[in-house]
Amino acid sequence: MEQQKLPNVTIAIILAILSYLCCCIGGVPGLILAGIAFFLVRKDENLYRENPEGYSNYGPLKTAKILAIIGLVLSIIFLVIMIYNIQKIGGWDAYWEQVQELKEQWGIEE
Amino acid sequence: MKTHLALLFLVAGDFMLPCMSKQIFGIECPGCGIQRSIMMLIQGEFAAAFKMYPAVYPITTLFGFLVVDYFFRIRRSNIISIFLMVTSVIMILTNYIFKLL
Repeated sequence: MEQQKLPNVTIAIILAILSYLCCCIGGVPGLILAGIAFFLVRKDENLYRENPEGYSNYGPLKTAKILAIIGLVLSIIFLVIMIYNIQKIGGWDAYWEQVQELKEQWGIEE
Repeated sequence: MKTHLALLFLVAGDFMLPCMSKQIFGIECPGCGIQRSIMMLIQGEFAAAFKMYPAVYPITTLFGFLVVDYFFRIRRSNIISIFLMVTSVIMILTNYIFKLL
């Protein structure tokens, strides 16, 4: 029986690694990316459970799960740090002022 | 795939995202420096790219390998993938911890 590859492992790995790289924007993008990665891994785990012999990349799937979990944890940690720091400088309004200042400095590039 | 394209677009368009957290709070994050590092890679400055963000090499190797593996069947791809994943994460995290200290 020819073994297939679990479909979502590659995307899950890419998303999980990307979630590490964008922690700093408050943890939220990281949380979303790692969350999607985790969800994809779960989907593939269900597929695998239905047919354990039919898939060849279970090893990377398990590793991807660990990557996604670490990504989730990191993102949550950064989110908490972000919220704490926003409170420290005086709440959301003060933070937003600073963001606006910076945006003006850079000429609102996006 | 879409994420991959977005990343390419980011690099190709001189479209570097600034780091809000770093500017306002002075907090560095595990991904700090990767955009500059990739630009250096593209410009051929390999040593400088490594110094800027060491994990850029395992990460780009991993992504490149995943793409190739998606289209072609590579033997032992499981072990290679796992190895690259673990290397990438270890380098990302240790580099970050070193930066903090």
